[in-house]
Amino acid sequence: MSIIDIPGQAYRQSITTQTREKWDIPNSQSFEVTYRDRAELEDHKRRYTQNFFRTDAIPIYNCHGLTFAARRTTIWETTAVKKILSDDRYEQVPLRDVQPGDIILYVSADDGDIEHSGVVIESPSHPLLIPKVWSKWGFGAEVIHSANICPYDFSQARYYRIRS
Amino acid sequence: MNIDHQAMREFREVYLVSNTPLYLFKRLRQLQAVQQLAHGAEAEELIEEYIRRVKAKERTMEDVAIAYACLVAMTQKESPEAISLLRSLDLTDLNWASVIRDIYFTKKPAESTGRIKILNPSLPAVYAGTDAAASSAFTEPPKPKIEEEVNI
Repeated sequence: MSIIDIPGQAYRQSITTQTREKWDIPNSQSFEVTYRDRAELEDHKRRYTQNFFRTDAIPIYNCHGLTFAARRTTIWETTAVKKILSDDRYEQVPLRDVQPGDIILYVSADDGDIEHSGVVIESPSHPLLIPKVWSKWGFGAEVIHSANICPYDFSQARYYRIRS
Repeated sequence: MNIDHQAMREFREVYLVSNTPLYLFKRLRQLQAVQQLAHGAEAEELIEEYIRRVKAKERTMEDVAIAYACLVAMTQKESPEAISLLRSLDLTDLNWASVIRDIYFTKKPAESTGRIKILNPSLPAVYAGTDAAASSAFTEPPKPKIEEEVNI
């Protein structure tokens, strides 16, 4: 695995990844966070003690890369995520029907930016009906967390499932 | 340029969890530390710091985070000189820097609030200035709202 050719230098490449309809998904693999920066994550972990950080900081993929591209790359354009939802036949499901394996999108209430995504791993439970989620926090770690315990706008969370 | 430890920590944390350039732009703009950079430093100083950070020989995440913070602080300086410098700045050394500049120039800032408003869902968002009272990116998570199904 190539990590850093020149430590800390931006290094960009994209890979070929497509939707079901053979649309090329814009993406990039970034190494802007060097592996010696992993220690920075420790500070972050202390802020979210109730969450389980299951990896170190991994800069190559982000949340959408985890949810839609098998952890291979970073997808950061909201228009691309919308295209994936459409081409891959995702349909929105109501909170009461959410199951493990569905995906969660955190949509900014301000501007519609899909600022985060993840995979539901536990159905919403009473009393608050908040599912448990597996997601990747930016250039940081993969995290297991309650859907509302994260630095993203949970107020407009939406859930999707592939229907056909 | 003097950037205190707490400010650096906030920059790093916002950068670390950013999944999209728009998120990075918005959250940095909300930080008081970025607003202090914008008001306390000259445009030329911000540019110098940006260049120094992105050209660092062994660039760290802190360098990258501070560079983005300087860039976003530039977008909060409304002077013609700052805007001119921002337009001419080489942004090829950071993955999202040119995207952030485009966000700023295509989502015209106004003075009143710090929120981005969608005037029409089919149109680009409009960035509406700063909110000095906004807190850091890591506030207590919001309580869930009543479910509503809205197509994206």
